[in-house]
Amino acid sequence: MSTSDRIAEFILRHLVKLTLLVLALVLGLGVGVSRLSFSADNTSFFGKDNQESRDLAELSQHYASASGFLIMIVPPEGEMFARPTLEALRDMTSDAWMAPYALRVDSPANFPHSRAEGDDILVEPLLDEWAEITPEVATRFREVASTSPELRNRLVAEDLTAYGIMLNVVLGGDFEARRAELLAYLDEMRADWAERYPGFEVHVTGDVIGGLTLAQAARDDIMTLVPVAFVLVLGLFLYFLRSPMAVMASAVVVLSGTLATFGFAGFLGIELTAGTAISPMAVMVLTAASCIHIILSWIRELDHLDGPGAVRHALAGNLAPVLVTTLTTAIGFLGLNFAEAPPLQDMGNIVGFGLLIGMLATFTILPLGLRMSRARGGDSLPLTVGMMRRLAELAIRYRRGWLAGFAALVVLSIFGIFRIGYDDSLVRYFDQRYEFRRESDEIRAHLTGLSNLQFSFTAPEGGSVFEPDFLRDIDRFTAWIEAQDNVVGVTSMTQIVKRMNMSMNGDDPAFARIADSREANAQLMMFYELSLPVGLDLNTMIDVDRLHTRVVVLLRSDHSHQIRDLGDRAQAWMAANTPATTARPAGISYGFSTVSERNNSQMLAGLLVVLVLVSMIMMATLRSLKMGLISLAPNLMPAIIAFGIWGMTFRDVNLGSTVVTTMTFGIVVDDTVHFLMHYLDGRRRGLAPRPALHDTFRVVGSAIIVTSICLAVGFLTMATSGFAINQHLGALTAIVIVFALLADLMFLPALLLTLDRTKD
Amino acid sequence: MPRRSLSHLLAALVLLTLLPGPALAETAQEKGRRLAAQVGVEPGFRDQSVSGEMILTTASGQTSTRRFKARSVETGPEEARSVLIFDWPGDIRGTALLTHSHGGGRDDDQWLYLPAVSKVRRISSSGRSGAFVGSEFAYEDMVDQDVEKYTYAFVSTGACPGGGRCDIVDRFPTGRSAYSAQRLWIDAGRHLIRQVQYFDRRQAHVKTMVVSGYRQYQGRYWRASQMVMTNHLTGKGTTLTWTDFRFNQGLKPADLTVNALRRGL
Repeated sequence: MSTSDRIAEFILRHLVKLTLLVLALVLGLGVGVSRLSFSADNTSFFGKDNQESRDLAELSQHYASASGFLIMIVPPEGEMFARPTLEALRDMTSDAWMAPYALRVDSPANFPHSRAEGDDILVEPLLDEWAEITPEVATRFREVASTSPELRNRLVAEDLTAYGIMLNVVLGGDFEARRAELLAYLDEMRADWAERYPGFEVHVTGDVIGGLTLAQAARDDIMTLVPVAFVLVLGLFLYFLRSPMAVMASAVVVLSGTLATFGFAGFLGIELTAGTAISPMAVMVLTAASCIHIILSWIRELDHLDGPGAVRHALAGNLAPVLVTTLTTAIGFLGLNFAEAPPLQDMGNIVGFGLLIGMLATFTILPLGLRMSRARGGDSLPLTVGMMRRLAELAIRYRRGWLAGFAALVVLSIFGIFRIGYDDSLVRYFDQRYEFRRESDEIRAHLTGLSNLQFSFTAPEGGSVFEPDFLRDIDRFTAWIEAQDNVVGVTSMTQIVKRMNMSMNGDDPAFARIADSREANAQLMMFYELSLPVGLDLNTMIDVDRLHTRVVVLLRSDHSHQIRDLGDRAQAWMAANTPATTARPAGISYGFSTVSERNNSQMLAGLLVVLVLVSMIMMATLRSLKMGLISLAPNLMPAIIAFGIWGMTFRDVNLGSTVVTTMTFGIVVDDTVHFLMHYLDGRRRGLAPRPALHDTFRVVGSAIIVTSICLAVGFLTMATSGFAINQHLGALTAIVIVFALLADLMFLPALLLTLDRTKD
Repeated sequence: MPRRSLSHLLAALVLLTLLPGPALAETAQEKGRRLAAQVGVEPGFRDQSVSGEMILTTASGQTSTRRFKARSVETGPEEARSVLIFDWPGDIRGTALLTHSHGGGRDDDQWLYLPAVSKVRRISSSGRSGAFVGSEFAYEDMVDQDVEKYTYAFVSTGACPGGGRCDIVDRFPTGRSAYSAQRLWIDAGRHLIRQVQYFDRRQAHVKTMVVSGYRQYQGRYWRASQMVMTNHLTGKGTTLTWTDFRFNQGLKPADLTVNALRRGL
């Protein structure tokens, strides 16, 4: 009696008790589901220990930080500067001011316009909240709104068809309650506007809405995709496995695994976000795969054994393979800890843990169900022994073709991989089914850019931000970056210093320059500061110690490489032109634009560790160094091919894609383990390679096919998510699995026939 | 008859004009107004000078300092002139903010002298509600408040922050202001402001100023030594400390004019 037999014997003797124990464990973990929470933090994808995150933290330390809402108002056609429109804009600006926790509101209406009038400098809002809009006021408004670079393309559409109102709020402390209060106000405000201003279109976007949409997407995926995947998996089970009892038991097993995973996440206090919420689905399909192996062995055994005997054999025969494959899969997921994005780490850990619970359920609940079944053999299964034989023949007959075909595919894929680009953006993570995406697209198309790059400059040692040379450098940089592609606007204190200097000198354009002394620049800024209305202060661009100032570059970009590239070019420009005054690009948009690259380089290390660990387990399990090495080929090729195809077709990948190779490596080795274990078993029993292959196809062929279909369907379901990280992760994984199936069934036999020439 | 005087210069103290009205069947509004009007009523005050230091604290704990000297002189009933000369940060040293305040609900006039470019420029009135030199004080929190610019409502009597009995009075600006209302805690015995809560335009309690360290100078003038303003929305704060009060040094109204600014103070 082998160890496996003894363990199987033990499990079956205490099956009911063990099953109850596992169920108790699952239900215990299930309690954690009530503690699940959803993160609405759009920086949750950034790790804490990298330059970009540190720069981001520094920005919020030096400068006033707030959550922003951008409201776009599209007046009726041709009415852009009509008096009723200006009144509406003025009143809408006041309404925005009434929003709970409003810190400041920027709109063309309250834009502090400065002009010289004799010896006086007037800094006044374009539309006074308390004064009537006279024809003169309207004329001046039109003139300034259509020409001011501080308004145009930001709060006034380039083609003069829309206005923007920027509302900044501080939600700090009791974030969620305050957010709810604020959003309720905004909803009410919009409903009110719809009534008061017929013919006006209103669109709203903002980081708070983006964050909420993250949580919403997570919830949507859990509520729809997880049940859909469950139904699909059960459907596949019913079709391929037939036995109702086995399918029911499997349903309980996969539900247990899924529940335990969610519960585990709840207990750990992991906040689910759109990138992690459906990871328990991976547990569902992967556990289902283990069930398939046991059920198919059981059905095969039923042909020549009685019920209890078949269960015992199926269990004993699969203990080792299922243990090994669960372990390798779990290692693949735990490898996600190398990722830098916390949600990906979370996903790796909860799935890794869920798989272990799923395995316990597979070894207890499933045999209990099988023992209760009255099924009698598998003659009627859709995948017949004859089909497996023909597949084996196909693999053997065209082995050179398969080898050459796969080699060619890999070479082609390398070209595809070089076409791949990273595109990460909070807005583009969502597809058109989310209002946040639609509204943001609308605003980006009509009004302004929604991405920004920020450069925080530090004053020279011992000086302040008002040093003339320092400001002149920033002024040159501002002028340079203003002229770059995709840039729709730049905010820099140098613009104000120059404008105030000009106003101070009778609006003489010759004075539109940085003043010659630190004191003069400081005093010009002070004059401006003293003229600012409530809510506006300099802390958005200068820190209170006057040692740091930031330049904010607003970008209209449709791909994150534009943001990355501009950041790189800006640094190169500063190094060459203003070496004494340099700053790194920073900000949320920049953080997203670099997040994949950062993760990818970290995941390379993760992949290596997983590769070595899993291969060592393979070698130990197969007790063959050579087979372990051979197995690398069919296990690595699928990821290469999948990314190659992706590069040829979709081109762009995102954060989700960076973990696919590592994650799928642990998954695709499963089929190889099953395949090679049986093959070697045959060889050790004295079979020649070809008969051993035929035997392997007969015994595990259908299981490999059914599990792969099940996994591919599961991950394809994930790919229908409205959230790009899940779309990419799911689709790429599904492609990897399909090619892994092909590689195991066609390429691996061909490779074995070529390399396995040892005679026993 | 008590004469109206500057409460103190640039302090967020209210100033009042009128005689207490007859207290027969006084309404909450009348009582509030009467109590507010008693604040800062001082005999024989002419001019004063004082040093101010502001320590600005951001939500993240970063601090920064502003220092200035302030001088003021009374120019008539309901009228005063004051100048605030900055000392720190160094690059605004000598920058002077001149204010002529008028009674009768008229807007104040304000000019800034910029020594680095030797220019004086008037500051438009919309700036009075904004943050003063990056602090949590708005200019309007710091200047004398004309009793005519508000309507009042007496709320109750209660404990002062830091002890003692206070009359609590709400006042509502009648003209433009950053606030919809202010709630004053007025020391019942000495008629001094102990605390002000500021309510923004949507009636949310946005800031609180606690005034402490009152001392009596020359047996007549009560002056606070510290005003701590906390912004509840942003978590920022400013501590304003007053030192070195001097009174009746012979400052003349003619010393506080635009031309005097140009000549340098």
